[in-house]
Order: sequence, then structure tokens, then C-alpha cells
Amino acid sequence: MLAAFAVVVVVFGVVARADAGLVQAGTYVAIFAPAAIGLSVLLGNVNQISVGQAGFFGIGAYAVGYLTVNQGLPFWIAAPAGIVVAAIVGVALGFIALRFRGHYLAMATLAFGLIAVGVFHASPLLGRASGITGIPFPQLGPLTLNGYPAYWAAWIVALGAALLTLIVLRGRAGRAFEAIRNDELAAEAVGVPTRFWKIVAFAYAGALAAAGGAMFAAFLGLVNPDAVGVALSVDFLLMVVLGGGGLVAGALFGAALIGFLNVAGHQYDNWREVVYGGLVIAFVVFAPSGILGAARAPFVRARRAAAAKAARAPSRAEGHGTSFPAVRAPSDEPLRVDGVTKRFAGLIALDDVSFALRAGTLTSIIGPNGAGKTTLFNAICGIGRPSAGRIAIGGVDVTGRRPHRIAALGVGRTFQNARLFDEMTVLENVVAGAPRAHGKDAAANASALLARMGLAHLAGVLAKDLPFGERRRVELARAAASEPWLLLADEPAAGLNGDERRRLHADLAALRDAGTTVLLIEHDMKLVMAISQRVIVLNFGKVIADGDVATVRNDPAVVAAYLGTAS
Amino acid sequence: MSRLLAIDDLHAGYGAIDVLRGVFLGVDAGEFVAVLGPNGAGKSTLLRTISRYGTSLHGGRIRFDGTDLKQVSTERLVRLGCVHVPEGRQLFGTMSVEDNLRLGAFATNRAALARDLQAMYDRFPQLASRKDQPARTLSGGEQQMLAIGRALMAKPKLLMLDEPSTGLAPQIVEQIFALAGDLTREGTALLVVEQNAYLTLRHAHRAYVLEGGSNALSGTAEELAANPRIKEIYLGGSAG
Repeated sequence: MLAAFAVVVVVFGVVARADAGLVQAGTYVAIFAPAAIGLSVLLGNVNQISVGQAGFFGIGAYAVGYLTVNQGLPFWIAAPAGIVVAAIVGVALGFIALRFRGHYLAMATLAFGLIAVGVFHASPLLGRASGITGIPFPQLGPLTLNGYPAYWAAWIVALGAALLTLIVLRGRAGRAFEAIRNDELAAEAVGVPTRFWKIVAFAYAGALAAAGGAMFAAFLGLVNPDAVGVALSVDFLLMVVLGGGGLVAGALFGAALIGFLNVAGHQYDNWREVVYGGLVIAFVVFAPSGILGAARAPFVRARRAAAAKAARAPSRAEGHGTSFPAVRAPSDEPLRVDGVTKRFAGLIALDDVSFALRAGTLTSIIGPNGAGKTTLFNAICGIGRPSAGRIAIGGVDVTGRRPHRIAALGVGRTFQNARLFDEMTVLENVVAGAPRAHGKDAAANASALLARMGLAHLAGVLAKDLPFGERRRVELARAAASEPWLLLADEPAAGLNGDERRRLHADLAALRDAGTTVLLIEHDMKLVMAISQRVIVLNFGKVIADGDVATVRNDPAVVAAYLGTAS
Repeated sequence: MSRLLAIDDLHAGYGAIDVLRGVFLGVDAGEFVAVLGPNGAGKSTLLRTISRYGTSLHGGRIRFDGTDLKQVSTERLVRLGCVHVPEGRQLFGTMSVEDNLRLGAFATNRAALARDLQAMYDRFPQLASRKDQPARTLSGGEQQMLAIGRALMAKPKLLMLDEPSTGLAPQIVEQIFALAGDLTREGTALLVVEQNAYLTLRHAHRAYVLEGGSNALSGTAEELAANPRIKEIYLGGSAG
């Protein structure tokens, strides 16, 4: 797609070389494209809205204006300086984005855009309302980048930005972004540092916008507050929405469309905001995947259907006899929970819970609804710091650590409602399960794991197309992908039929036999009693029984917790 | 005589997942019926399916007071006389106790509002003294009372309670079951989902025990309280 676009750029450049107006229009498109690509990553790949993209564009433009005109520095120093400043400001905005979501984030980024313009407007160094003029054209050796050469220079930058973005999105960063977009909590649970990557996304989007801004100042020779106002942020948003968020080519396409609309509709400038605002609303409502997304949709659908059909073909989908690679916990005590208490506004969810697990054993935690089981799991996984007590994993005190850091120790987790990354394929889900693996290894290991679990035929299926029972197994595969020595499984049998339960039993037993210490929350008592070496019973946040299956089942306190007292 | 609530071969769940796999159940006017069973048996899903509370119906039939509920929205069901007090109570936490009660009568009975409010305060004196407080500042027991009071403001023929005892002290739980007894004597039918089997069987007329999304046992409360199978169902005693 990108190559096709590059061909169009070259052909247009050759054909239109005599028409200065067309060349200029083409240059404009290249100037705005990087900002649109950055925003597309933010919006489409990481699911973070920004209505302040023009602020970063302005930083790049003003950096070039100020440093070249006032400081006499060459463009080649001024532009990178602007990009660095924008990236730093992007980090700051990223920190804000950690605290806000949805429309609050939109407002926060809008405010950032307004503040940026306000600063440009108020600052005497930056020429206040009239901005900076007389910015020299960049010199490249003997060549002055102006007019026709500027077209090529701008497109080299724009296509370079597009290529760089494609490379970034194909690698670890892209996997992290995709995981965050699908399910932040699950992303943390497989070991993706979601905060870090969100901040990276904001910095990256800001840096790309600044690169465009730098070209704007250099090729137009001027910059002023009006040029980098909120209206431009709306333009960027429209480019992304029009082309299709999350698609690099979509952002280029959107930039081209809006660029030429701007030129063609120049005499109707007063109506611009009305029309563009209307277009944003229309696309969000009627074609949220944009023009390119809509054009791709039939192909995507066909591929999905083909993958789903292939998955239905009879295969040796036998999970029995699955074996997992042997793992070893770093200590004899993979998990120690010591006096853990958790209070929520007046309610004690966990009350002085203590136990330690021996390596390579399978333990179940049972208890009536509201007993505190999931709260305990969350505390172990780093979701919600305990009010008191310590948790040690593999001999390391992890109390209060972020979930992704706990996962990175070698801890896998599955969720009560099977939180897969729905927009990713089964293979991509399992690859995401081992976020520290690199490149080809990651895919090869994931494929091998799927084959071992008898799930290879599902590799190309989108997670959201899976039947429920297979969702659960894929989630288990994802958790197993990092070869954890401690696995926490939250109600893995819920919603499974008889066959699926038997297979789950076999999988869990195989993981335990491979040396993984398994901690299970489960309501399916037949499974619990059949598989557990030890059962811990919680009620009202307290451990009321702890022992082998027979002991626990006949404990009067357990019977009372489940059935009430008969008296 | 046809039953107030009649459920036939109900299949339902979330999305495409079946949680209920063939449930049969009936409640007569003025009767106190309990639904028991271990976690994950489908008890809450059953109530949620009756009141169309985020579940999808895959097969079978639910009739309430002569109306097929297939096309009936949650809000219309309240007008028909069936009110659900969900697990976790779902009060309007920032609104006052009195506003919560007023909202309970939103669908019905606007004319008699003042009188009905007074009747509710007579029934729940603790709520009267806190009527201007935001609902979230009440204790757990008071919140459960308020949730039931809010449901009663709609003058239901059938009141459905989901785990009313969860997280409450034993004497409060006793109070709530005593109230349930009063309500049935006044003619309101009750369908109560509970974990706490033996306690519930002391108060209910009849009960159904669900296991794995379908009926496992049913009978009068006395019969079931004496049946040892119930313990096996809860604690996975025997294979089956």
C-alpha cells in the first residue's frame, strides 16, 4: 500500500512539475502527512484520542522559525531540536493521558493545543500575533529546498515517516500498542508495561507532527499562531478519520484528500470549519474505519471467513497428552502471601490472609461469592495494592509492584471472563503472551505452543470469532507462552461443557507436571476435588480451611460457609 | 390455575454462551420460592434473563401473569408487576434515600406517592431517619432495605431478590428474611436467589436447586432441607 502511494507521489511529481500551484499543493500534503501518521498511531493503534496535534506541529514550526531567524542556526539543527522538544512535551502529555480517558482525554489534549497557541501568541520572542517571517529556505549543499525541490524533500520526509511507522508497528512496539488497544488489563497481565508504551506513543506522535511543522516553517518561510491553531488539530483528526485510523496509508490518503480540498475550496474558506466539522461527525457515525478501512473491509472479511472455515475443518484437535516445556521456580516457595488485608471503603475484602505454595503443586482457592478470591488474585498480580501484608513471588517481595513487572518475573494469569485481545488473531494473542521474545523467535515459539496444544488450526482466526470454549484454551495458551513457573487461573472452567472441562483438566495437570505451580480459583467443585493437591477456603475475606480435598470437604466450617447452618 | 411466573426449558446466557441449559420453574401468586445452587449454577443469570438484564435468550419460554416476556423490556416488566433487586443492590448512590424510593415508583402509581412513601417509612423506620442522606452513606443492611423498599414502591406482584444476604451480618439477614415472610403474607410473591441454602429453606415455601445451568432438585423447603444430595451438589461430593 505504501509502495503504491510512493509511486503516485513520484508520478504526480513528474507530471505536475510545470504547474507551480499543483507542486505547492503536493508539498502541503507532505508537510501535513507526518502529523496525521502520528495521530493515526495514537488514535488507531493505541486508542488514545488527541485534539492537540497542531500544538506539536507548532512546536516544530516555531523551533525552526526562532532558531534560524533569531539564533542564526541552520535548519538541520533547528528542525531536530524542534522534534526533540515536541517529543519531550509529548512525554508530558502522555503522563496526563495516563490519568484521563475518553472525552476527558479529548478535553485535556484540546486544552494543550489551546495553551500551545496561547504561548506562541503571547511570547515576544516568537513574534506574538504576527509570528515569525523571513525564515530561510533550507540549504542542502548547493541546493536550495524551495519550490520544486521542496516537493521532493518534503515527500522523502513524509514517506520516511510512514516507513518508519510501519517498521515500528511490525515490531514489539506494535504488539504492545495492539495489546493496549484491545485490553489494557490483559496487556499488563502478560507483561506489557502499558504506561510506558502509552507515553511512547504520545512522544512519537508529537515528534512526527513537529517534523511536519519544521517543514512548514522552512518551506513557507513563515509561521504564526493562526496557522497552528485548533482548526489545524481538527484537520489532522479529519485526515485520520477520513483515511482510517491505525492505517499508515490511510493517514497519507486522508492528508492528500484534505490537502487538495484545502486548495480546491480556497475561496470558500469561511465554510471550512463547518464542512470539516460535519465530515468528522459523519465519518465517526457512518464510516468509523474511514475510506481506506471501508475499502479494505471486504478483503478483511474474506480472510476472516477463510481462517474461520479452515479452523472448522476436521483436524487432530486433541488436547490430551499435551506436554509443556519444563520450568523451574527460582525458589522452593513460588508464592508466599503474608497477612494480606485489603479494605475497600469500610468493607474488608481480605482479612489477614496467609499461605505459601510449594513448587510444582496445584492449589485451589474456593469460597462463596464475595469471599475475596478475585481480590486476592488481583493483589498477587499487582492490581490494587493490599492495605496491609506482604506478597513474595519466587522469594522476591512484589507488594505494590505494577502487574507487568510481576508478570515479567514468570507469572501467568487467566481471567474470569477470558480477556483475549479480540482484534488480534490467535497466533498474535499467543505471541503477545511472551512480550519479551523478539522477532521470529516469538512467532515460532507461539506456533509451536499452539501445535502442542492442538490449536494450530486456529492460528489465523481472530480471537473475537472463537467459540467460548476455545477462547478459554487460547487464553491458557497465551498465559503459557511466557513459560511461567507460577500460573494463576481465575475460574477457567466457567462456561465450559463436559469435553472442554476434561481438556482443561488435562492442560492444567500438564502444566503442573511441567513444574508450574498452579493456583486456581474455581467454582466447579468436581474439577477442584479431582485436580487439587490442596484446597484453601475463603469466606468473608478470611481463610476458614486449608488442607487436602477430603479434609476440606468435611470441615463443618466449609459446609456452613456454602450451605448455611441447618440449625 | 395458571402460574404467576412460568418458565419452560429456558436456554439463555451471555452473548453466544449458554449459562442456562434447560431450566423449568414456576411461582404462584403469593408464594415464596427460592432458587439455590452453587456458584456458577446460573441462579443470577436466571433472574437476569427474566428481567432482560443484559442476557440473551436462546430458547424456551418465560410467561409472567399471562404475558410472554420474549419481547418485554426491563422497564415494561416493572409496569407488569415484576421487580428485580439485583445483586449488589444498584442503588443510585449519590441520590437521597427518598429520591431512590421516589424513583422506585417512577413507572407506576404517581398519585399515591406521598402515602406510599409514608408506608415505606413505617415499614423501614431506619430509612425514615435517613431519608435525606445520599444512599451510598447507608450501612450495607440499610442499603439492602432501601433496595427492597425501592422495588416495593412499584407495588410488584412478584419481587425477585438476588443474594439479599451477601455481605450482611446474620441478624440483618434474619430481618430481611422476616420481611420476606411478611411480604408473602401480604400477597406479594417472592423469587429469591441465595447461596445460603439452609437459611433460605427455613423461610421459603418451595425451592429449586440448579446445577450447571439446569434443574437438579426441586420440592418443598422441608423435603429439600432433609435431602443429603444438596450438600453433594454444593461441595462436589459424588460424581454424576
